[in-house]
Amino acid sequence: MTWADLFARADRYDSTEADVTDALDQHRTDAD
Amino acid sequence: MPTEPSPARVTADADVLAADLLVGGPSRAALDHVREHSWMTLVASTPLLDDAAAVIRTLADDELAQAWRDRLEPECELVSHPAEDHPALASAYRGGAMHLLTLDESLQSASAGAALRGRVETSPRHPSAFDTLFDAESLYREVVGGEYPGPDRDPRA
Repeated sequence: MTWADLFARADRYDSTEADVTDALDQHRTDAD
Repeated sequence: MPTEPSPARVTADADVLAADLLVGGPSRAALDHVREHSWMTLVASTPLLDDAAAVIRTLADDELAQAWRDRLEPECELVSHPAEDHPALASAYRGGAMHLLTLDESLQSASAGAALRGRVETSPRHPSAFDTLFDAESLYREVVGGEYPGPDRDPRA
């Protein structure tokens, strides 16, 4: 799959940078 | 044994990897510089890619996370590090990445940067700072030599 295809598929989720940082914080906290 | 540091070697923390896919903006602009130049290297580790994939699964779905990993992993240079290490810091250190792209303000802070520079030759910075400072012509002259021929890869391929 090309990057263009991946970006097109990801667009539908409408995520923000804050969503990403929160999800990573949560994931790394859970892993500790 | 860590790899010799190079300004053409870049590590992106899991937040930047996931934001590249899911958000675009500065993270995508920064990683486009890596994607469109074959002489740039993205350094990562399995735990770092695991973290990014977990974020993608949380915010999107398993299928997209797997497709992203299938596309990205062959293009990365994977390094190993102890499980207790911070995946991005350890990848940058062990893989000789002089640039560490992160959205984590605590890693970008002056004190964190100074502490890191005392031990490793890695500069943590926001992807927008890397995008602004990236100078392909001078970097090409430094790491490859000769006149910069322009991007040699399609960043959307």
